[in-house]
Amino acid sequence: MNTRLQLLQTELDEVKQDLVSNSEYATLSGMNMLPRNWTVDPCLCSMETGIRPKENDENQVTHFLCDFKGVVKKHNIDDCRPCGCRSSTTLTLSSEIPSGEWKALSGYTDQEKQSIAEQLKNNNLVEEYMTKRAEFDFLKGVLKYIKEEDLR
Amino acid sequence: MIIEYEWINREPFLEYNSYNVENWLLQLSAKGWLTESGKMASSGNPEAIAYRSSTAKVPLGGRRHVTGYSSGDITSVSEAFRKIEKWDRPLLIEVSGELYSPRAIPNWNNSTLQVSGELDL
Repeated sequence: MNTRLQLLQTELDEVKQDLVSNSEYATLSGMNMLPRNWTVDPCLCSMETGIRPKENDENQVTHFLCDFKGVVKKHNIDDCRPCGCRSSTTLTLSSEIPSGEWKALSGYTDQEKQSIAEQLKNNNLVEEYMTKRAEFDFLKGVLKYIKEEDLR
Repeated sequence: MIIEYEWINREPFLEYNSYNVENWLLQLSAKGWLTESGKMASSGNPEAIAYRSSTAKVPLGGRRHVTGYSSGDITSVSEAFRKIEKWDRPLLIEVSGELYSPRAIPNWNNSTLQVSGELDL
């Protein structure tokens, strides 16, 4: 995940570099006058977690698969007109249970399962990944718009 | 076809309680003529005209005193805004649509379904 985050950061830096090399974007950005729909300052507004057990032939849980679905808003620059532009990303991660601790699903309380998912989320910087992923998608959209215009 | 773009308005609007600029009103026009001779004959009055306008809002944290904007700043911002908002092409389409649209016949008579008198176009 950290490698994934690093790769994403590299891609994000490239998009930002491409954007600031566009003179109009640089002018408006420098004067703090980017159009509202070009302003990207992502904020995570919701995160849903699903957890699914994977069992062996003896009905013991060997690992849990956690599905994280994050919804990120493009920006939150003013309270009067909330931004309606959102990006949604789903990520599935696996939490392996050491073989000595395998047990039946009924042996896990809801709290334990939530704790496993929470730990997986924190260890893998899921929220940071979601936010960066959305930032990348939003900025890529702006860049695509600029390039289309250049072809005109 | 001749088309000329002209800024009609590039005006700042201040916050209600300070001299900081809250937004800029930007308005661009496109004036069109079918021919150069037509333009001269009309003394520069356009045969077709179209407008685009927008309010460029300055975010709360980035607002400046109105005297903090030079005319060069305003020119570069408005031109950048015009380009990224892609105003020229739709203006061109609108003006050419007006210039090349079907014309009414001045002396058309709807009772006789004929032109009354001379066909004067």
